[in-house]
Amino acid sequence: MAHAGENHAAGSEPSTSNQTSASAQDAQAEFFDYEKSDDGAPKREDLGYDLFHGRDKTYRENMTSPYGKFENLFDTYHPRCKTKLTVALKSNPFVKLLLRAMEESGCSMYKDRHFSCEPCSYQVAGGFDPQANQNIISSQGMMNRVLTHELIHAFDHCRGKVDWYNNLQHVACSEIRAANLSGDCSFSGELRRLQLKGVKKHHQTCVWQRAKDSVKVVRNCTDEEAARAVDSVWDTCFNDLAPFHKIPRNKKDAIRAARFRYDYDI
Amino acid sequence: MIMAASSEQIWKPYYPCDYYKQEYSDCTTVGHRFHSYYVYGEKPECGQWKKDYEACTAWMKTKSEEAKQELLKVEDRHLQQKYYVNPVWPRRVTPPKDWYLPVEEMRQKQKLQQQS
Repeated sequence: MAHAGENHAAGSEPSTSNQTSASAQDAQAEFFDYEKSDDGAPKREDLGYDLFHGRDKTYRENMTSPYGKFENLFDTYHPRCKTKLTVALKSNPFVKLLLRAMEESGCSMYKDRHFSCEPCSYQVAGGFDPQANQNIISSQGMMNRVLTHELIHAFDHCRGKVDWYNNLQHVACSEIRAANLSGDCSFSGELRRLQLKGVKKHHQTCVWQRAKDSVKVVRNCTDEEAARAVDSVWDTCFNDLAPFHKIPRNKKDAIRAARFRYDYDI
Repeated sequence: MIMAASSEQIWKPYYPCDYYKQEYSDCTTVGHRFHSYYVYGEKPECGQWKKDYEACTAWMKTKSEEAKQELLKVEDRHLQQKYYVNPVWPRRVTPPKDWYLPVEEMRQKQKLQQQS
C-alpha cells in the first residue's frame, strides 16, 4: 500500500508553508480512548493553544497598528483574510461540498460563529478548535486549501466522536483524511515545493508525511509515536473518502462528488 | 395518454445514466490517468464505470426485470460507498452539543474548566 517507511527530510519548511493542524490535543503516548473527564483537564499550553496566540485577545488587541506593520503587506492582513474567506465560502466547490455535508449531519456552519481570522504562529497555517467549534485561519495564501483541510476536521468532529485530546489514533486518522482530500498533496503543489522525490505513489508518501508532522506539531509527541499512530490507522483512513467519492484532483472532481451526493445542490 | 394505476409504484434509478457516463469519460482522460499513477501507482480501472453505464442504458431501453436487478446491484455498490462509516471513531447520532453556542459562552466555559 503506502510507502510508509520512506523518510523524507522532514525539513524546515519555510514559514509560508501550509502545514495545517487540528488544534488542541494532549501529549499522551497511549492510543486508548476513554471518556473525557473534566478533572485533570490538561493545561492550555499542552493542548497546542499556544500555536494560536491571537485566540484570547480581542481584535483590537491583535491589531496594534494596521498601517505600520510589515506583516500587513502580505496576506496576514485581517480584512484580506475575511474577504478571501467570504469568497471561498461562496464559490469554492470543495468548501461548499463540505459545508453541505456538514449540514446534512446537523452541523451548519456560520461565517461569524464558526470561522475566525487571527494571527497564528509560523508553524501552522490554520487549525480547528474542537472546544470552541471554530476554524482558525491564519490569513495566509491558499485560503481554499486550508479551509478545505480544516473543514474536513470539522466534518469528522461533527459526524463522529473524535477524541482530539486523548486519542492519537483519532487525530492521526483525521489528519490522514485531511491531507488526502484537501489537495495538500497535489502534484502541482509538490512540484512547486520541490518535494517530489518520485512520481509513483508520491501522494501516499506525502499524505503520510504530512499527517505525521501535523500530529507531532499539535500533540507535541515524539516522531515515533506519531508514526506509529499514523501507520495503525492508515488503511481505513486513507480509504475513507467521505464526502468525496474518489480522491479529488481538481474542482471538477469536487463538483462531480457534489453531483453524486446532493444532485448539485451545494 | 397512458396513466399508471394509482396503486403502482414506478421505480426510477437513483442516479441518471449520465452520471456514470461522466465518470467514465473523466476516468479515461490523461489527467486522471496521471493522477491515478501519482496516487496509487497503477492505471485506473475504467471498465467498471462503462459497465455501470451500460447497465443503466439497458434498463432505460428495455425496462425489463433483469436489467432492473442489474442496475439495482450497481446502485447498491455506489450507495454503500456513500454511506460508508469510518470504524476508527464511534459515530455521533446528534451533532456536538456546543456546536451552536455563542463564542463568549464557550470561552467562559473554557475558563471555568481551567479554574476547576
